[in-house]
Amino acid sequence: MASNAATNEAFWRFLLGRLLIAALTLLAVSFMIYGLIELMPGDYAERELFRKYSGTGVTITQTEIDQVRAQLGLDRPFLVRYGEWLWHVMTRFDFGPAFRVETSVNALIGDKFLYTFVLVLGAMVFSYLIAIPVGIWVATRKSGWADGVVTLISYLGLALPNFAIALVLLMLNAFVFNLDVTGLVSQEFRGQPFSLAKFLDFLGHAYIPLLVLGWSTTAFQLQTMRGLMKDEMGKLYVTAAQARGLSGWPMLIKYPARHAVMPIVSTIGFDFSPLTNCPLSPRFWC
Amino acid sequence: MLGELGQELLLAFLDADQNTAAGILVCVTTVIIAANFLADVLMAVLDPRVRLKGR
Repeated sequence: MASNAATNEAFWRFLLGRLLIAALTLLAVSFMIYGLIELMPGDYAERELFRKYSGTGVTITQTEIDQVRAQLGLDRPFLVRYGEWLWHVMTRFDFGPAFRVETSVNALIGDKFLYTFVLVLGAMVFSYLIAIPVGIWVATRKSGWADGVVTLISYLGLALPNFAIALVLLMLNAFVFNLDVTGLVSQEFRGQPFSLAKFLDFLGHAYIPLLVLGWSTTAFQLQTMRGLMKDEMGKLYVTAAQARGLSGWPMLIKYPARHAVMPIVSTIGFDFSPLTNCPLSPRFWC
Repeated sequence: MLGELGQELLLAFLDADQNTAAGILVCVTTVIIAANFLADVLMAVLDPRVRLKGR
């Protein structure tokens, strides 16, 4: 009982420390972005006027620049602007106006971020659900054919470029199954506010990006799982467990799989990389 | 979607649009931090050798 309480306390302490570090990281990231952009020559007011009048032959005066600057609130010092932005983010979850597209940042990011997140998360769950059990199963097979088939599918997933898979799937859907493949939601939901029906419709459309995003991840995790599982199976503690009468899936999950799954668990963070290297991703579902 | 958000980020940098750039990056960073946190907790659950130091 006493040790339980101590573990609990340690857990909360760990959680609190983690949250603190997370908050500091976010603070540092936002400050660095704000600060680095501040260090660039010129500001948004100049760029807007340049875009508006470039090629028209109109001469832009300093007064006009100052006017736009004052309008957008860019004439205030850096720390005031950053502080205000930060305060609004923390108190109202409001990221402020997005100047270029003349809407708020929340409106700009909102749906896109949510859908991207659901897609990446879905692809991850899908790949773990396949990779871990299949990896364990293949590693314990004595005959070679299952291993061969799984390895072939894995290497196809790793070797085929994502955009090629995406294009082939789109072609299949469009020309063989005659399905609507443009966009993540059906025509009638375009531009509609978020609703449950829209979300369900999105899930119906999401399987192509899920397959594209998930295949190579699944292949990589599956091969990791298979290799580590093969290693663990030969170890003495597995023999000992078998000697105590344990066998089949309960034994596999209780002993070797727990160890073999470690590298997969510890790289969960990396599997979110499709979210971060978004400029490189295929853009067919935009 | 994915590509669009990256495009927005790039354009925000080029335009010196601080709110947009910082907003997008803060959102992405939050997800990465959450994922790494999840990984740490799962590690502790799965591996008996990983123990929290309660002092």
